[in-house]
Amino acid sequence: MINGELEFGRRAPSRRGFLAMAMVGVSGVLAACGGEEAKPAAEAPKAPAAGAAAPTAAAAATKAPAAAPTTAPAAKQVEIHTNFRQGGDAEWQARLMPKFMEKNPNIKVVLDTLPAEPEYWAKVAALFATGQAGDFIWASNGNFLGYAENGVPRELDSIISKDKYDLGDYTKVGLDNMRYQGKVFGMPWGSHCQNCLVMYNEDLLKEAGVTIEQAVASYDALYEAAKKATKGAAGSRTQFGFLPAGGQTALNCNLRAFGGETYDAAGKKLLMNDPAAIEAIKWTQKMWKDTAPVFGSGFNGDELFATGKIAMVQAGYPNHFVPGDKAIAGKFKWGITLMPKGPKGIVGTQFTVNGITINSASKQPDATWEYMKFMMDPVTQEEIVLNNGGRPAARKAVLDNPKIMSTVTSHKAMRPLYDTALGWPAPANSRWPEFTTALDQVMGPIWTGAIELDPGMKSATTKLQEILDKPKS
Amino acid sequence: MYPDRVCGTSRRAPLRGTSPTRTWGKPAHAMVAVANTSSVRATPAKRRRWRATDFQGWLWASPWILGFVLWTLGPMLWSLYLAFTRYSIIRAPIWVGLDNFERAFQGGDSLFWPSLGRTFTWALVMVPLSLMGSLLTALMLNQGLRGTAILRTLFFIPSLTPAVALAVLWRWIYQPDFGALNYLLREIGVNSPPAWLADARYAMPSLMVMSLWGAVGGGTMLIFLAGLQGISQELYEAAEIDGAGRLARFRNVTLPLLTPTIFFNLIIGVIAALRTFTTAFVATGGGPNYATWFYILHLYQTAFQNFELGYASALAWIFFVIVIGLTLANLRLSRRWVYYEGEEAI
Repeated sequence: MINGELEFGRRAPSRRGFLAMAMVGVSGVLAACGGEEAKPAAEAPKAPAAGAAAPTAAAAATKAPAAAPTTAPAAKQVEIHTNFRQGGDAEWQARLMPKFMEKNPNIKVVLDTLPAEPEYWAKVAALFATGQAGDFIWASNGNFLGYAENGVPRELDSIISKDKYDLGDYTKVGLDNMRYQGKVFGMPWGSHCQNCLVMYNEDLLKEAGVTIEQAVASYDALYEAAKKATKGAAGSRTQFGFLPAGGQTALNCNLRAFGGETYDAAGKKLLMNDPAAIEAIKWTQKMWKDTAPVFGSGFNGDELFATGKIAMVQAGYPNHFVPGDKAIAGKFKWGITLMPKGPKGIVGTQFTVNGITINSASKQPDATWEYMKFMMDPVTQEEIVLNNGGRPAARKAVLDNPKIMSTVTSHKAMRPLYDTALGWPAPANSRWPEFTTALDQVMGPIWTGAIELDPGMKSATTKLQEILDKPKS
Repeated sequence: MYPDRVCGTSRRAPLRGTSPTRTWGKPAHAMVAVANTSSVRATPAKRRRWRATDFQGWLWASPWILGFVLWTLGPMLWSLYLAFTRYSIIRAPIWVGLDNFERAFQGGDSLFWPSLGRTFTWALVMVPLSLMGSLLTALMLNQGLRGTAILRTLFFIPSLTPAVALAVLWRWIYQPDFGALNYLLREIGVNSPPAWLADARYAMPSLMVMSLWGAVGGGTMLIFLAGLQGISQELYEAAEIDGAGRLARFRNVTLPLLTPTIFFNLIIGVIAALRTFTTAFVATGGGPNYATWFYILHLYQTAFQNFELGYASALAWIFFVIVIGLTLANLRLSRRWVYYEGEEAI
C-alpha cells in the first residue's frame, strides 16, 4: 500500500503470471479438499410407507420380570436426542418414539439419524467432542469399547441400582458385551451369535442328492454337499454350493468351531497360525475356491440366493429377512438351520450386541434412562423383532417370546446358542475396525487361491499382528 | 510505481462514471479504483471517494473471503496444527512434534509408501490417457459431422454418472462368474478370463478402464472443445493456402494454440488423479491385498476408521506439499511448451 492506495504491482502481470498464481492457488485448495466426491449426507429416516405392515399388538405377558415401573415424570417437559445409525434401527426408533411420548408426555424424544458404520463411529465421536452428541447413543460391539475408553457412554450401574432395575432376566454374555472394566456401560438392545446359521435352498440340495441334515452333519460333510451342489468350473460357475461369510466375525465363528481363535483373550497376540485355526482356514479356503463365487468380486449373496443360484449361505440373524419370502416368492423351498458342529464339538459363535448407551455428557440421564427401559421392554422388543426392525435384546423374556420363537425361523434356529455363545473378542488397543478391514485385505488372496496358504498366512499374520501391536489411537 | 503503467494498461482518463467493464484479469471496480488514484490523489475529498469505492469492492468480495477464511483456510490451519499432535477426535490433541511425519517417512506406517507409489502409478497412467482420450474425442466432435450434437451428449453422459453408481455398475460388468465382460470373453473362446477386481494383478488396470470411461467424454473434453472452437478459422485457411495438410495443420496450428488448454487440463488432471478415492472405495475397498489402496483412501481410513486424526492431518499436509510441488514444477516446465497468443516468445 502506498498512501492508502492499493498497489497492483510494479509491472504489469502477464497472462502467464496470472495463470501461474491462479493455478497454484487452485491446486492448493483442491488438494486440501481431500477425496473427489463428498459423501452423501445422512438422510432423515423415512416415515413408514403407507400400507406397510403395522406393528403387531402388544406381546402376550411373559413370565420374565418386566421392566421396573416408570418413575414419575418431571413436571416440566424435557427433550432428549437419540443417535442411531441409518437404516432399520433408526426407522424403528421413529415408529416407537410416539408410543413412548404418549406414555411419558413430559419427555420429548428427537431422533438424530447418522450414517451407518464406519462413518457412524467417527460421526458420533465428532459430535461428542463438540458437545453435540445425543443423550441416547446406539453403539455396537464394533466400537463400543473404543467409546467406553474415551468416556462417551455413561456408567449405568449407579442408575440401575438407584432404580432397582432387575438385570436377572438378562443373559450374562449379553451384559458382558456391554461391560467396560467390570461395569455396565450399555444395554444389550439387539443381539445375535453372528454367522452360525446356514440358509439353504432345499430344491438345489435335493437335485444334488443330499439333504440338509446330511450337509450339516460336520464341516467335512458340508464341504462335500457344497461341492455336489456346485456347477461349472472356477470362474465360470453357473451354480454355487456354499457361500462363506466374510470379515473377522464370520472367520472367528469357523475358527472357534475348530477350537481356534483370532487372537488371545488379552487381544494382543494373534492366534491364526495355531494348528486348529489353520485347519479352519484351510476349510474356508476350500469352500471359497471350490464352491463359491470369487471372493471380493462384487456379488450380493442374498440376491444370489433369492435367484436360486446358490444352495447354501453361511448366514446370521438378519438373513431370515434378507432376501426373505418376498424376494424368493415361492420359486423354491428354503430354510435355515445351524452350522455344523466343528471338530471342537461346538457351533462357532461370536456373540454380538447392538447396544444402547447414555451419553456421559447428557443433561437428562433420568429421562434417557426411561427411554432406554422402554426400548428394552419385552413388549417393545416383540414389536421390533416381529416387524424386522432389529434383533432381540439379550434377555430371556424376549429370547423365549413364544411369538418370536414361532414366527422368526432364524431366531428359533439360533436360540439354543444364546446361552452358550462365546463373547466378542476385542483387541487390547480397541482397533477392531482396522483389524477387520486388514483381515479381509490380507486373507483375500488366500481365499481366491492367488497365494498359497503358507506364504499367504505368513504375510497375513505379520500384517495383522502389526495392527495388534499398535498403541491405542 | 510507474504512473503510466498501472495494471498493465496505459494511462487513461479517469473511469469515474463509466459503466462496469472488465479488463483482462481485473475486476472492473479494481480498475476504477486504480485508474482513479492517478488523477485524484491530490484532493482529500476525492481520496475519500476512492476509499468508498475500495470499501465497496471488499464488501462485495467479503462473503467469499469470509467463507474461505472460515471454512477452508481456518480448517487447513487447524489441520496443520493437528499434524503435530496425537488426536482421536474425542480427547484433546496431544503435541507430539514431528512424530507423525517420522512415522510416515521412516517406516512406522507400512502402508504409507506403497499407497503413495500406487497413487503416482495411477496418475502417471491416467493423466496422459485421459488427456489424449479427451483431446481425440474433442477433435472428433469438432469436425462438424452430422449428428454432432447427439454424439456430444452421448460422450458426455458417462461423466454425469455419479462415481458411486459408476463403480457399482462396473463391479457387475467385471464380476468374474456372471459379469458381462467375462461372459463375452467366454463367448469368443477365452476359457479362463481374469477375476478383474478380485485379482491383485488386474484390479488397478480394471479401475483405470472404469475411470477412463467416465473421464474421456467429460469436463476435460468440453474444455478441449471450447479451446478448439476458440482457434481462428483464418489460421487454418492461411495454412491450407500454404499447402499444409490435415496433419500439418493439427501440428502447426491446432496443437500450439491449444497448449494453454492442455496445460490447464494437465494441472487439473494431475490433481484429480492424485486425489482418486471414490472408485477404489466403492469398487474394491482398496483390495485385494491392498492392490488399490490409494493415498487418499489410506488417509480416509486413518482418520475416520482408525481415529488417528493427528496422523491423518500429517498425511494430508504431506499430500498438500506434493501437489503444490508438482503444480509449481508443471508451471516451470510450461514455459518451454505452452504458447500464449499475443505474448512474446520466450
